[in-house]
Order: sequence, then C-alpha cells, then structure tokens
Amino acid sequence: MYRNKSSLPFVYDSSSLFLPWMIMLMIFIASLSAAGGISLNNTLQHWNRAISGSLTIQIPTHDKSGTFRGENVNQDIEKTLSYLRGQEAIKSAKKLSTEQMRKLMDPWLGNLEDFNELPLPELIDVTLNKEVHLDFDSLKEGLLKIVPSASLDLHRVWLERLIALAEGVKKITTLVLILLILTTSLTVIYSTRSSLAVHKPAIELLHMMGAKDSYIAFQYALRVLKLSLLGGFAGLGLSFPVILTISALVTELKGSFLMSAPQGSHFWSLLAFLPFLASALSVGTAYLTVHKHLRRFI
Amino acid sequence: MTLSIFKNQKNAPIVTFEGVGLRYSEGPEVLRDIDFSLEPGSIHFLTGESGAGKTSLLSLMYLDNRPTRGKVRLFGNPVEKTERKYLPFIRRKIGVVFQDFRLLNHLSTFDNVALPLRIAGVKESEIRKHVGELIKWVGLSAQINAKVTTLSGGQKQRVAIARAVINRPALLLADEPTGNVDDELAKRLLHLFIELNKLGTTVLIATHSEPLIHHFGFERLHLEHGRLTHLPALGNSLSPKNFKTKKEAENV
Repeated sequence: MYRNKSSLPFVYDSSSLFLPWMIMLMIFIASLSAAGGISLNNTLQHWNRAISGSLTIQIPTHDKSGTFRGENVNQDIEKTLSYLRGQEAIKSAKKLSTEQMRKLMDPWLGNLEDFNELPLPELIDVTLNKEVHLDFDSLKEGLLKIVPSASLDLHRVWLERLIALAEGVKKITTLVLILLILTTSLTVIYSTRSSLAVHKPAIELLHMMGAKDSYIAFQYALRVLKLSLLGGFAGLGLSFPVILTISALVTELKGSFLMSAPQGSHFWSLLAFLPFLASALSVGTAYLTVHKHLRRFI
Repeated sequence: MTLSIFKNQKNAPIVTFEGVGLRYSEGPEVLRDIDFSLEPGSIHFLTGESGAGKTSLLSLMYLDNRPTRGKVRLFGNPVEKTERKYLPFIRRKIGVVFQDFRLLNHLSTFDNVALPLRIAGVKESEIRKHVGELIKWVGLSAQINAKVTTLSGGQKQRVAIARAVINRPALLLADEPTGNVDDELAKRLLHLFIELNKLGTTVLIATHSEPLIHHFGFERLHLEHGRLTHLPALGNSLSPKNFKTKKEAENV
C-alpha cells in the first residue's frame, strides 16, 4: 500500500541515465582485458616452464654442398656430448633419437615414409643446471673450437623477447583498466554534480526538514548502486559470449604454443566480481561528491 | 560547542532576534533592526503587506538564510556559532508550512507527510500509524496514495500543513497557510495549530486574512518596510499575552 521511494525526484532526472551505459562499456572492456591478461599470464608461465632451462645444439648431417658427412657426424656428436658433460652449467645432454625427431617434426611433415632420407641435422637436447650461471658466449666459443659445424640455439634469448612483448601488452591492459576507472569516476562525479544542481530545491527542502548530508548522500549512493549494477551485469552478460567464442577458437588450436584459453572457477568468479567492484567504485565516488558539494549549503 | 537544544531549558525564549538585519546580495536591507523574542507556547500572527519581509523573517527562523547583521538565537542556541553538523537537530524541531507548499511531486500524499519522520529515522510501523491518522484528520484519507500533482491547491495546502506538524515541532512557522482553502477549512486548520499550541508548540502564522486575524485574535507581529512593530490582538484575543519586544522585556 505504502511505497517508500527515494526522497529526491530522480524519476525526473535524466542526468545520470547514461551511467549504466558507461558502466556497461567499462565492464565489457574490463572483462575482455581480464580474460586477455589471464590468458597471457597462463601462456607466459607455460613458456617459462617448458623451455627456459634448456638449449638445443644442431649437428649438420650434410655439408654446405649437400654431401652426406658420414662418420664425421657421429664423431662430432661424441665430441659435443663429451665437451658438454665437462661443463658445470650443464645438467644433462642427450642426442634425440630418430623416433623423437619424427615426433617433433610430425605437426609439419606428417607421417613421412622416407623421413630418414631428409637432410635434417642431428639434435642434442641440453638441460641447464639452474643453480649455476651459464656463460653462453664462452660455451659457444669452446664448442665451436672442437666442433666448428655445430650451431647453438638458446631458447631463453627469444623467449625473453616474447616475455618482454607480453609484459608490454600486460602493462597496456593495466593502463586501459586504470583509464576506464578514471573515466567512470569522472562520469559519476559530473553526473552527480549535474543532478545536485537539478535537485537543489528538493535538497534545500530536505535540509529544512532536518536531513543530514549523509541522508541525502545515501539517496544518491542508492540510486548510483542500482544504475551501476544494472550496467555492470549488462556489460558482463555481453562479454560472456565474446570470451566463450574466443576460448573455443583457442581451444581448437590444440596444444597451441601461442595462447591458452582462460578457464576455471577462479576466472569466472573474478569476472562475476567485476560489476560489484565497479558499483562500489561508483557508489563511493557519488557519496563523497554529494558530501563535498553539500558543505556549501547552510 | 554543545547544543543547549539537547538540554531542558525551561522558559528560555524559543526565538530571539537582536538587532537583526537581512539583505540579499548587494540589494537593500529587507529586514532592519529586528528585536523580539517568542516565549515557549506562544501563538502569534505575523502580518504586513506583500513585500514587507514576512517570508524573509520566517526564513531566518527556519535557517534558510543567515542574518547579514545582528544575532538570532533558536532554542537558546546562537545560530551563527552553531556548527553546521548540529543544524539538522535544530531544524527537526521546526515545522514549516511554505506559501508555495514545496511538496515533492514524485511522492504520494502519504510519503510527503511521512518525510520528516523518515528523515528523523522513525520506525516505519510508527510512521504508518501517525501519518494515517493525521491525513485522516486533514480530510485527505481518500487521497492518501494519490500523487500530489493530482491534488487541488487546497488539498496540497493540507498536505503541506500535515507535513509541517507530523513530528510535533517545538516551533511551527506557517507562511499563508490558509491561502487556498475556504473559510471553514481555514478555521479548522487554525484549530489544529491551536491544539498543537496547547501541547506546547510555539506558533507563528504569517497571514493576510483579516477574518482569521479577527476571529482568532492572536497577538500580532507587524512588519512594515522591513521593520517590526508589536500590535495588540484584534477580535477574540484567544492567545496568551506572551509576546515581548526587546524594549518591553527590558522594562519588565
């Protein structure tokens, strides 16, 4: 029968109606950024675990004119292995078997019958001793003196470049989020100020009836809470299909080295938390803006 | 500063003006050298021609304006020295009927009348009981859930009066409270003020209505060109003789 509505006539106030749209956009971008950031983080960890403590040495089976080097290949392999075993920074070194090579090349070459006829180099997989610092240049120099045809591939060098790139992308994502937070806060501040100007007569009336500033600020906070939750969940709702579609596409690239799809209850809980976070930010901003503004009143 | 409003100051004047002047921005003084006090439980008419400064005088009492000179004391508290955070507690002891009603158009009759109680944090069950009774008393039971925009001028005025008296204020200020109602209803509403006055509320009614002034015969504060004079009661003289100008108080 009796309805306890807001004491301020927000129903006639269009100044804050674009707030849900703003929050919706913010949550949509924030959700996608969070999904991208988490994916990138997972990928970096995966890369680090997979290849950071290893290097590969290639021993060519053919010389530059394309002639099979025969027994020299085995000799070079033996020399290389014995040199590596003498190094403190090397934990283990092992020549890859033909079967392992075939498995490694399988995604590119398929099940090739005359695999053995290919002029592929022999590969030595080296695991580094993490407790000892590796002087890559002196290792390379020492090995080339013994086996001039060998070539060394330290994964860490290009991995570090990729990590730097990924870290850069992460920083940009964080910057975008900070900008979104700033923009939302400013939107709330200006829409609240504009609304305070519109409702000045009603606010004066409430003051005359004995309303404290906190009573009026609470009315605003409640209004902004409703609008931001509305916008927040709409933004989240919009981001779900986009994230799910991208995740599905990434998952299709099975074993992809480039990206891992975000997943797990932690990820989805984080996303569901975003509208509440944005609402808390908006409500706090509105409450403080009203309090500050009302200090000018008698 | 501790507010003396929270202490039980018996017989201290509810309102005291000492050498009060008021001007808006750089304009001329609309109120000049106002000196008077209102004793607890008194009831007065505030008379004067349009533009004499009646609404301005009332606005100083309901704290919508601050005097440009002189001192105003409400419930024993000097207004200019009272911290802003204490003003709501003073205002909650004052009921105001505005000339232009100042109702909140998005709310119903019930919610408009209930507003002072909600602001004061009264329980909803109490609010329902008291507001319902008062709305019935002012004859608006049928409009209890109606939006105030659908009410007539007279009905709006009754809502404004009900809102002003719902929390049984210690000081009731009414600016032309019967301007939009017929004589019979005007008298009935004035009787409501008298009932409140009997319960201890100090009442000041700004009015132009000669019939009311003659019928009820309360003592008069009369404003002319921004200056206040004390005129004797006309007609029935229902009110106690408790108004004193500063000069009279000094003589006593």
